[in-house]
This record gives sequence, structure tokens and C-alpha cells, in this order.
Amino acid sequence: MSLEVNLPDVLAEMTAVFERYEDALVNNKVDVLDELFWDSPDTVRYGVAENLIGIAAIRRFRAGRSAAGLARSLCNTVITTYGRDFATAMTEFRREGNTQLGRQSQTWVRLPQGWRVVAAHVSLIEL
Amino acid sequence: MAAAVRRGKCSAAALVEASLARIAATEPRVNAFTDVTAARALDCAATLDERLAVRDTTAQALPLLGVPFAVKNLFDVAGLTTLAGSRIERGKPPARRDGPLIARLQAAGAVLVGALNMDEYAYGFTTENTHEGATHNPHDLTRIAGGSSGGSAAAVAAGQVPVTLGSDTNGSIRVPSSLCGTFGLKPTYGRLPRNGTYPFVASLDHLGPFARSALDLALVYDAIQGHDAHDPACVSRPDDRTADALALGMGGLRIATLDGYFADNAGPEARAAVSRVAQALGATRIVALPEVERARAAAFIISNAEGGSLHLPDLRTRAADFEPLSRDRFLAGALLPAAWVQQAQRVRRWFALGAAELFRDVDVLLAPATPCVAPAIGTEWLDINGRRLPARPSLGLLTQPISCIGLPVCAVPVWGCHASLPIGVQVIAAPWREDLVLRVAYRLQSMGVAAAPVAELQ
Repeated sequence: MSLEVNLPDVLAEMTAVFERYEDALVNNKVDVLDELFWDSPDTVRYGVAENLIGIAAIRRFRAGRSAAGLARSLCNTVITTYGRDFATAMTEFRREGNTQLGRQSQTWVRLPQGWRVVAAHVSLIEL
Repeated sequence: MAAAVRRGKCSAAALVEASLARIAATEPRVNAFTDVTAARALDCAATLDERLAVRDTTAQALPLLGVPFAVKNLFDVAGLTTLAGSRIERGKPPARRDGPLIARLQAAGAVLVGALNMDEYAYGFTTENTHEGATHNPHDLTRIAGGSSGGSAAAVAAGQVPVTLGSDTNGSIRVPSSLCGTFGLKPTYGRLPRNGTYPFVASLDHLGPFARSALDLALVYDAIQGHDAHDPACVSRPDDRTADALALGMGGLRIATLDGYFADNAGPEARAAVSRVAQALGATRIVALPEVERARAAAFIISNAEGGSLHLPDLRTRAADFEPLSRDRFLAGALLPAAWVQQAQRVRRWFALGAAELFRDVDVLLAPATPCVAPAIGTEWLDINGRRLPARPSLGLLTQPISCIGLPVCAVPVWGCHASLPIGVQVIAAPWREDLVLRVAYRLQSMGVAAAPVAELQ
């Protein structure tokens, strides 16, 4: 199978969607975050301190989350698209006043309703 | 436009069809396009409409959803030969893929409808292209559109498309914007990647958008930013989102008018346009840059030498196939002493440091974009304040010193200084402050001082 990696228009679209997700995350736009996660019982989100299986669990977590201290800066973001409908978005992040380095991995699929995160994992490490 | 498609008020296909119809109706008189990519545009619009029909929220959120656009024909468009206004490139293989800015606009929901006329190899300020015919100014068809991105300005002024891309080495976005009455943005040198376009002068080439409003310019600029390592001059720095900051107002902005060279080389209409803008903004300060003539000369020499060397093999073997209006300048460039070019680069650096000094206590500078309104097609000489100057190179007198040091500029169109034609004012800021020039342009448009109406073309 030959797969076209990082087609420029697909990469640009995926990057814009990723930026929209990041904006929603740091500004606690819960409706946008909810929109961008696949509406499915198979969606997985491993958080720093919780394992969430299925969109219902993810929504419950978001609704109960504090809106304070969400600001963060990203570095070493690597977005890669494979063909026109599949992508991974990997980034490191730091929060002000926190010495730990965050890592966020997302798997994105372009469904009929648009690009959606189908699996994600967030973790922290001490450097 | 994008908002109408998003709300389902009209389809992307309807916007593209309207654009294609306007092109068909006005092209015989304007001659802005060299290729119309109708099949591709209709396919692309149909795909967007299909995505919207199934409530694809990624598509709904696209900032330029369904907006038709066109590009100067030095941009690579998949399936088209990149002509750069020449006869020499005709018959060369077509581009295999779109240049990065086209890909980014398409990813933002915009729809490419064609490629636009220009001066051959971007060497000119008039778009009197001997191979394709001159592009006519939509506001007065007997006059030039300016250049070298003349098709890009004329297509917007004629209402054929709301957005175009062009390039600016010495003024090729700002001059046609001024003469056709459009908004044009020349970003900071190194901001937008130039790979996937036909170069002219690598040291000075910039790409940028044209539109009929400051908001559209900002939306397009926000969509096309981003580093690309394939252009070695493209600087890797975070994107600046400008559209959300347009309405911040003028509070605290220190704005001054450039005097000296920029007044001496401007005719009465150009000076009146700058006065009107300065007055509207309450800008009473007058400042000057040192040795502007030398900066312009440096830009000329660097352009001449790099342009001449780029085309040297063709100049040696088939000089007769070049545009007759610029052939002698390319040939002269191929013979310049290296010492002149080196000295020009030193002058450029010195002038950039002088400008940086000025920006310590000023945020925005105002200057005319062209010495006069659009001249008649075929004009050989201009009379500027009693001096007789060759028309074709002199239209860039006021833009060259600014692009020589890469400062971001928004050209804003002002009406009423001439009986029927627009003339542009350059709103200039320090490097990477596109947000400021767009904010000032937005303010001027809100006040009614700047406007880009569609030409009636009766």
C-alpha cells in the first residue's frame, strides 16, 4: 500500500483543526472539545490521572473539570497526515509554574462529520 | 461570503458559478486571467457542499469556506505550466502540485478559479505584457492596472474574485493595489514561504494577498502563515493571528508621515491621499528616513543583478524571446560589476538599521504608494513635480525603498484625490507587525477614508 504522507492541503487542514482544538482546550470551550472527539463508545482518552473509555465518560470528565489553570505552551509539535483521512498529532506542553513536561498524543480520523479524535493519551514526566 | 455558506444561505458552488460568470462577462475588457480552472473549481466547491450536507463540522469551521480566489501566474498550480508572464516557459511541463500558499488557502476552504496576468518574470510595474496583452484597469479601461501583479489587483477590482495572491519584489503588490483601488498586503520579508513560485530576486521577493477589505486580507494572511523549510529565507516563528485584533483601535499607536524623499517624489494627488489618511488618524508628526535614494538604488541594483543572473542562460541564447519592455534591463543586469552588488547589500543593511532606529518611537509610518494615479496604457514618461521620469520603472519609486528592507506594508485605497481614480497609501510598520498595518487599514476602512468598490465596467 502506498500512502501519501503530509499532502500539503491535508496537513494544512489538520493543523488548523489541531489549533482549533488547542484554543478550545486552553479557553475551556467545552462544546468545541466535545465536537472534536468522536461521538462513539470506542473513543479512548487516557488522561494524566484517569482512563476514559467511550464518549460518555469523556463528556462527564469535561463537564466536571475546573476551568482554572488551563493555559499551556506547546513545543515540538509533530502533526503527520497519512492519505487524506488519517493523522497523528503529537506535542509536548508545559504549564506555568509546573516543572513537569507534558506529552499529548492524538489519533485523528476524518469522518463524514469532520476530523475527530478517536484516541488520545496525555502524560507527564519529570525531566 | 464564508459566513453565508456556513449558514446555508448559499452554496460554495453558487459562489464559484457567480465568479466564473463575472469572469466570462468582464474578461474581454479587463484581461486579468491567463487561465481559468473552472472544472477544478466546480469540483472543489462540490466537495465542500457535500461535506456541509452531512454536517462536517471541520468544513463548517473553515475560515474561507467557499471563497473563490486566483493567483498570479508565477504560483505553481497543479496541472498548469508556471508561466511567470513569459513566452519562454510556455510548453514546459506543468507543475505537479500546488504551491504551499495555494494548498493552505484551499485547506481553509477557499476555491482556486484561475491564474492571473503579470509583467514577464515580475520585472515591471505596468502589466503591459506583450505576450498576453495588457491587463486593463477596471476603473478606466484605457489605463494600466499597475504591476507586476496587475492581474491580481484587476481581478479583485473587477469583482471577478474577492481574493487573489501576488508577489512584491519592489512594489508589485502595492503599485497595482494603488492604481486599481484594492487593499494589498506585503508581509515582512521571510514571513511567507516562496517555494512553489517562480522567483525573481531571492533577496527581495515577497508573496502576499489582495482583497476588497482589511478583514479579508487578515483572514487570508492568517490562513497562509507558517514555516516551510523549502524556502531558506522563510523564518520559523509562531503565527500571528491578525483577524481577531483588527478592531483593537488606535489607542496608543504612534503614527507619523514620511517626509523628504516620499513627498518630493509624489504628485499632488498622492500627497493629498497621505494627508487625508494622516488627518483621519490624527497623525501630526512628520519624520524622515535617511538616504532613501540610496536604498532605492540598492534595491534596483540587487534586482537587476539577481534577475539578470537567474535568466542568464536564456539571455545568452534567446534574448529575442524576452518581453521587449524589460529585455534591456535584464541584459544590463547580467553585466553589473559584483562590487556594485556588494555595496548595495551594505547600503541595504545600513538603511534597515536606520529604520529600526526610527521605529523606537514610532509604530506606524505613512507614505504614498505611487507617485500618481494609473497612467494610460503605453505611457512612456511621467511628470512628477516638474521632473520628467521614465514611466515604467518610476511607478515603484515610493515602494522600492520599503521592500528593500522587508518592512510589512498594507496598501490602502483612497478615493477623491483624483476626479475618478483611486490612489494608494502605504501603511508601514516594523518587521513582524502585520497586525498593526492591518489594524490601521481596518480603521481607515471603518471611517470611510479607504474603500475598494467593485468597478462598474459599463
